[in-house]
Amino acid sequence: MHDELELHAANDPGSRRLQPDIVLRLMRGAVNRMLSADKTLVDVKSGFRQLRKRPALYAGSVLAIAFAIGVSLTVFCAFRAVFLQSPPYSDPDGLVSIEKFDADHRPVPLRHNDFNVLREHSRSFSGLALLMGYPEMQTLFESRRSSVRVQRVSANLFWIIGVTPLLGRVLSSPDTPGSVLLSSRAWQRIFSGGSVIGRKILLTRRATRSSGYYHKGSTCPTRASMSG
Amino acid sequence: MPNAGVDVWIANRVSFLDPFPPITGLIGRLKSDTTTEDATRDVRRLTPPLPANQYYEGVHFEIRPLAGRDRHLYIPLFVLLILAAVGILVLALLNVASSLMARANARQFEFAVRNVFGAIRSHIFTQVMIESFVLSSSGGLIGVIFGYAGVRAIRQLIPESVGLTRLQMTHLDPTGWSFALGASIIMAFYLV
Repeated sequence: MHDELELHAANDPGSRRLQPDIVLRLMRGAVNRMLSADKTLVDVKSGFRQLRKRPALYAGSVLAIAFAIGVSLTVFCAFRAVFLQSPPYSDPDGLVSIEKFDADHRPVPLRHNDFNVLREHSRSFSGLALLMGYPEMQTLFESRRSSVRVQRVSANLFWIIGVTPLLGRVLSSPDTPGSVLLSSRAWQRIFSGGSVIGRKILLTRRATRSSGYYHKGSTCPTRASMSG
Repeated sequence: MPNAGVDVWIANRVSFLDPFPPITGLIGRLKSDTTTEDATRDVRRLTPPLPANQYYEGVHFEIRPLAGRDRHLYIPLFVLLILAAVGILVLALLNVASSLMARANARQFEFAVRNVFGAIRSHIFTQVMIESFVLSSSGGLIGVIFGYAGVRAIRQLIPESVGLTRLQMTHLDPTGWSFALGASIIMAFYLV
């Protein structure tokens, strides 16, 4: 401001005195500049003050915006998970699904012989794995029954998709008697997140429960967090 | 593909009670120097064996990349969801904008007083802008909480039996937060 006053005086050599209105204007500009740093803060405070003045109006507006953003965010996250993210497997581009179709391109159920043919005669795969039935069964653990979804898989599945368990080890051989792999969710739900490795559980089919048949359970359960 | 709805995996053992459990999927790992097209040509030359009591013509194997295998299942669902989300967004914006416009008319006197005390047009614009940001960022913050609840609901409420297992991978991460921030900023500009 001092420089501006001097500059103004220098430009007006006819008068050594400054006009009062010019001084007032320059001072007001200087004060405005000094206050500009706090101005944003003042405006933010003013914004919140406005919110407080009409709480119902602004609460409605905030909730409308929140709902709209919440819905959009949920859809965005789901879209991203489905279309933009790869499955959580090692090198997912190298994984393929093999399916069987007839001449009219209708799906035909796969059979064990198909697996054998592909395993013996195809030259493109470093490994093939089978996924089988998806029955609902009952677990019996420490005299508590829980319902679980069970999937039978070929023992090399987890090696092929490149997944390692959080604890324990993956299924390695169908000859390992009764070893199972638990999902993280089942581990939390059935076993309350406690130690389960090496403990026995019983798995029984619903259909055969009444006849007293129990499918033998696990001697070495492990857990894995999987999705896909 | 290991299903996200599965609780227990068992290594297959052929039992005398259930010697041939139905196959629900066959997964292959391609050799490092093999493309999907090569593998398709390779399996098409093989003839799937058929049992004597089944008559299919031209039965053949096909290969699909696992990463994009079931995406087509989701397209109708997402068309619907995106339309619904855009509709809700537009309705909310129109609703809030009309409320704020009515409020702005009631604040003419306040702006006039500020003008008398030296506030120029840009000062008043900045104030209104910041008020919009306060409003939309508050909404955005609560919206993230709603979004978190929505993501959890998707993971827990959509039945696994419908087969949309990719939805189980839905989660809220920094990209989602950036989306919410961007949406808040765009809304603030719109509301000014």
